Amino acid sequence: MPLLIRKIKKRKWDKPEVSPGAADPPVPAEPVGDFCTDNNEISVWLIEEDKANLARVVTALSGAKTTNISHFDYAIFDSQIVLDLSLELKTTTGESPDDEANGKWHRDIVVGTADNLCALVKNIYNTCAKERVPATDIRSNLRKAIGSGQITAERLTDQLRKDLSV
Amino acid sequence: MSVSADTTLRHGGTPQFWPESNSPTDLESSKRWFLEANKASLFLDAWTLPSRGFKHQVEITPISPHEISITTNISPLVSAFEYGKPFSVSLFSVPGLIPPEKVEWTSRIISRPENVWMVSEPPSATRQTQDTVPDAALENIVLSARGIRFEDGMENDFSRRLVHFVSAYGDRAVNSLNKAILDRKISPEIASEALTWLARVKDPRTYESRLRLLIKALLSPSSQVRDGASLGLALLDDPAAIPWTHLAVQLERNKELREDMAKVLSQLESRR
Repeated sequence: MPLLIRKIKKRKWDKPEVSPGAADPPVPAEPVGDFCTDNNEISVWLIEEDKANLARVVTALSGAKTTNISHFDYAIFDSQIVLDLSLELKTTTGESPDDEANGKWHRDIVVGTADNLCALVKNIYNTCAKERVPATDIRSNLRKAIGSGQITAERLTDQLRKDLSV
Repeated sequence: MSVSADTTLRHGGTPQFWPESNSPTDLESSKRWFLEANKASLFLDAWTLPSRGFKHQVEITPISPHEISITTNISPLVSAFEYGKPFSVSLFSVPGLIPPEKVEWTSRIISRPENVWMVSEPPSATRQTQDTVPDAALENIVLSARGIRFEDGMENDFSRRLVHFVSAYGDRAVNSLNKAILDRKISPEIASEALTWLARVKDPRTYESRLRLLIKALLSPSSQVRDGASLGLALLDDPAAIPWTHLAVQLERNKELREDMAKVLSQLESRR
């Protein structure tokens, strides 16, 4: 089953440690803030099961609309979660500086209602893996992507280009 | 060094260091009282680098049942931080930044209702910040953060103002931020955002004070603030922060944050 990723603020997703056998702690409200809707839809990116496109998508996202090199936090979760909630996962064009990634891997989850959104975030919170790519890696990955032509430097913000010295 | 005190609630919810009827009257008796306390709730810990061979001195003087004074040659006395119970205060030296042998700091820890503890500013720090203009400017900047949804790596009105503030006021701005962040006058989210942008300021004049603030914030009670400090240190990429990042990793109770801090530590160590 393919996976999906979404940029998050990792610290808001920390789980309190629970003793073995204890019930799962309630899901905090903060993670909902990382799932802003646009027209009742959530933007996510499809990651192949073997994660072959993960680094490329993360690099593309880290250069999208950003003004400075920064770490990149994301949640990665099974796309089955979306199907289990009977939500539509539709292919749309992404807005990253990597056109190929935009066409191949961008998806929108049609959540429709606040109830669906909360159920989605709750399931993601309970099952996802959270990762952080350090700023040093983001810098070198963006430079490599520009060098290989995956990302066009002109699609980055002026400040980011200056920060990258490209 | 580690001492402890009973900080159970008494007298209408104000925590005490010792019972009024049994107040120690001198340094030795206060130390004895601390060490004999059954409900260890206050810990004072001094962190210095063993390799520096620096001998730390910490003097605790009772002032009232609700107040103690600490004089130390470890600089500076950092803000109080709490992990529920026990309440904990850490003192640490910053090698290479302040020659600790030449500095003596005196601060007072004062109890407040609701089990809140305050650490007063060291007098030398107070002298540096007598000009309250930066404090007022910072308040306005913090107000401008309201309603902003912070996105990693994305400039916003708050970050632009903050960078300008530090460039304009220099160390006085960093001192104001120091007070606001370590005394928890601003929310953890704003503090964390401020710490990462502080690392991006291109101003060599304030480099040391910014580095020092980032190091101190590693011991904040808020995981968001500790994370912001760690991310800021990763951006500065200065191996001088290695000992303190190492210490922060050791002390970190949040497993996920500990792993993130360990990555920052690896990055800094690879720069040596």
